[in-house]
Amino acid sequence: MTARSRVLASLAATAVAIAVTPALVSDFVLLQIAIKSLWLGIAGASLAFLIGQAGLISLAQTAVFGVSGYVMAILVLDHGWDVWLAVAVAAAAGPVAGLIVGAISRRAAGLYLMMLTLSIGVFVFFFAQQYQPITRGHTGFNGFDAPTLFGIDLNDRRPLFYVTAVAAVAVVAGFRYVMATPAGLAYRGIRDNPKRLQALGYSTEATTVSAFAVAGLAAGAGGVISVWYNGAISPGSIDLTRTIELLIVVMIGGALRIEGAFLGALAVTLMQNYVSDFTNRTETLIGAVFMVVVLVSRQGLTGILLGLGSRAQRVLGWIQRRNSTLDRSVTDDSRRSPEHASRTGQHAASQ
Amino acid sequence: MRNLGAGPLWRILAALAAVAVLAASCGDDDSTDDTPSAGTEPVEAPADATDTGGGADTDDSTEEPSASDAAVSSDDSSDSSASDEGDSSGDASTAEASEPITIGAISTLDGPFAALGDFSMHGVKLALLEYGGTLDGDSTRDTVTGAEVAGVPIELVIEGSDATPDVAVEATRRMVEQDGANIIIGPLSGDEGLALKDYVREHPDVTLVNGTSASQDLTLRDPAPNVFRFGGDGAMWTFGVGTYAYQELGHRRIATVAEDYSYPYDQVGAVLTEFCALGGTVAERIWVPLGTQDYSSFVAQIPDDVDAVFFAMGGTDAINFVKQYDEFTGQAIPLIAGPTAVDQSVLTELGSRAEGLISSGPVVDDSGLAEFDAFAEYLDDVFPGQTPNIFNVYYYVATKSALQALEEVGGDLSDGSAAFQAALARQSWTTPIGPVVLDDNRQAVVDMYLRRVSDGAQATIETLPLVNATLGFDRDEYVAQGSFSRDNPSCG
Repeated sequence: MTARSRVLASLAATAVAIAVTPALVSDFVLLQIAIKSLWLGIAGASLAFLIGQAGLISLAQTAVFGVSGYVMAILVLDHGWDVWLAVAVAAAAGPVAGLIVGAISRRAAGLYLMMLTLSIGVFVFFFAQQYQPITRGHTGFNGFDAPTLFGIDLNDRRPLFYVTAVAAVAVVAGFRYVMATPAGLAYRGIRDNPKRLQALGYSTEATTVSAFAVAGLAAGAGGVISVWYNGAISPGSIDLTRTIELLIVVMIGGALRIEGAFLGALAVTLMQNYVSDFTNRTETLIGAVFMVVVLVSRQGLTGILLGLGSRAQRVLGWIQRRNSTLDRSVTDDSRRSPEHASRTGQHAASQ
Repeated sequence: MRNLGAGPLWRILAALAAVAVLAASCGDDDSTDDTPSAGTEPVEAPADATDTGGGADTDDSTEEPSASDAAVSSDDSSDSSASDEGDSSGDASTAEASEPITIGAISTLDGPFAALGDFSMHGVKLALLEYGGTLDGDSTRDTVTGAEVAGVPIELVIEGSDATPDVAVEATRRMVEQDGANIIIGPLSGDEGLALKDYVREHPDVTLVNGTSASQDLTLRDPAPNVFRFGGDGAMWTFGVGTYAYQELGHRRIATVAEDYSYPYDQVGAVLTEFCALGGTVAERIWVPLGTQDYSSFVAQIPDDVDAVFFAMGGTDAINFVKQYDEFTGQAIPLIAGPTAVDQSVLTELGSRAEGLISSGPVVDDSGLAEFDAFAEYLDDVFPGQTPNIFNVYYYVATKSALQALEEVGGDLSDGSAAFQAALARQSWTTPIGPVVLDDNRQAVVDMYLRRVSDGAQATIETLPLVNATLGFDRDEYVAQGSFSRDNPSCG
């Protein structure tokens, strides 16, 4: 299988999965599990990109997410803008906000970066909470109607699901594209060895800022869709709890691969919705699962799945080898039957 | 990857087992405790009492609920007894309608108000216990099973939010679309209420009976036909304080310190509407962010020459503020409290400092109403050590109103709950905190109490009968002045 055909195959599989999901699940699951984990995953993907590729653990992605959501809500509900125009401006606000976050924290790394971005996140939260003339304070914006696209109302669940899913695929594809470019290599350079990167003539500061800007685009997209989904945005949508939730999404999913964020988002959303059915301690359980996943696999659920995958391959290979030895020992004793011949032939082919 | 792949499978299994043990032990905490079963026993009796309709031959603990049953206005109780008697004759209809009705209760079970969420659920469960339910367990999320109204089984599902609108809507959607809830009791906080109003507007067959969300605009402006509030809003809870401060206490110039969001706007707005109409003035309106720890800069803004300071805060904010206010000012200027700042749920934490604080609110401990005393005793029976506060009383009143309306219509929720919602709008009964009747916006007209903290309880100064949503002002004018905000009303 060539790389190109593998990409096409996985794209086709994703397309089929997206197409059939609404037919397979209830309206409730479609909205509150599927759409929710997709937009949470989009926001998570922006953080997974920062952490996994550039090694930048940012706690300001919820703030970037909130800036886009708020920009759209303010332009539409307070200034009567056309929704799609507002969406365009809000989408542009994401990378701009990312650029600002990056510019502020371009020299920081590790713990200091976390503290700086945390303070930006908390600043945006309090700005939303307190600066009433613009943000409407604690109550925020209610009653936001999702727009119509080619005459299709995105307040309906299926169209919203398809739009969100397409956005998610675009975000993954976009990040994968960036990761494959020389810029992607430079991001991994800041993660692995910034001094070496500098010695090669790159500006680590410029690289950091641009990584934040790229991630801001996805975070902004997540923010916009979240407002469609919630029909509202308030300081409660971007508070510290949500910041930690996003971090948990990425950690559970695994930051090494962008797709991990969606896995993590799905896991967290499922737990939030169904754990309360059998225990009173939803948050405790999410925390415990988080700890277990992190302890068992540094690359989260993605790591566990990949590990299981390679383990399964190894076990399969072992079984096949054993079988073929058995076959051989059998054939040594008795003359091979046509059946045996075909089976061993299969093994040979698959190996 | 290689290291990871080499990690033995047993590590994953062991970790999963650890989680399982943890989860199991969490569950054990709730179920092995012996108190719940002890708590459930006296409860089954009131169930019998309601079943027999009269409750004549019952012991002490069962007399209370039947007493409050009897307090139901006469036509209600005749209706209910009629439907009880009609059980046999109306077998066909009840057998047909015996598909259970699901009531979803939502309150803040996580986040800053988690303790208040526990109180709310006590109220919901008490109402269901009166209809033959038994407690599943002692913990907040344990539901009540076996309750029946007019032969139709009632199921209770409980969901929690963290006081943010987003989470409240998701939890409610879960109850409505996943668990099939037809009636929602809750939520607790103001902005959650507004978000849920938007949600149930899209689901007209679902009925929202508000818990303690005190946002005016839940019912005052742009009401939804399926949203009902059997209690006051933030402004109604503060009714009478402005007048009392001006006329009885002789204050002419006050300052206000309040949390910076809609619910305290309503409280400050109500106080100033009355106070300024009489000729009083406000020197300074100070708004503090929710969850503020350090009040020094805010206390410093209070002018020295005001007669009193009105403070509207909840929970720990109120406690922190009062403590620091005392340290900075030496209690030189008297405080007047908002309704939840000195609610029974926080009084013990304020301790002796609360003594003498004037406020207005829906719950007093010495109203002398038989219904209140019965409720207090019943609450203590089922949930030992609990005393009435705004949260358990309001959630109880909401749930009981819904159950009474269900009883009237024989558990019939057909036709988009039309008959049920009509019956709910007609509910008029004497609750533990006085009579309630709904206005055209399905907003309660209820008694409020002007009260003073005395010996750790709320003592009545004056009963303010039948306060309505417009505080007695002309409706059109009151609505036209707009939602209360940081600077509305202007006050001179």
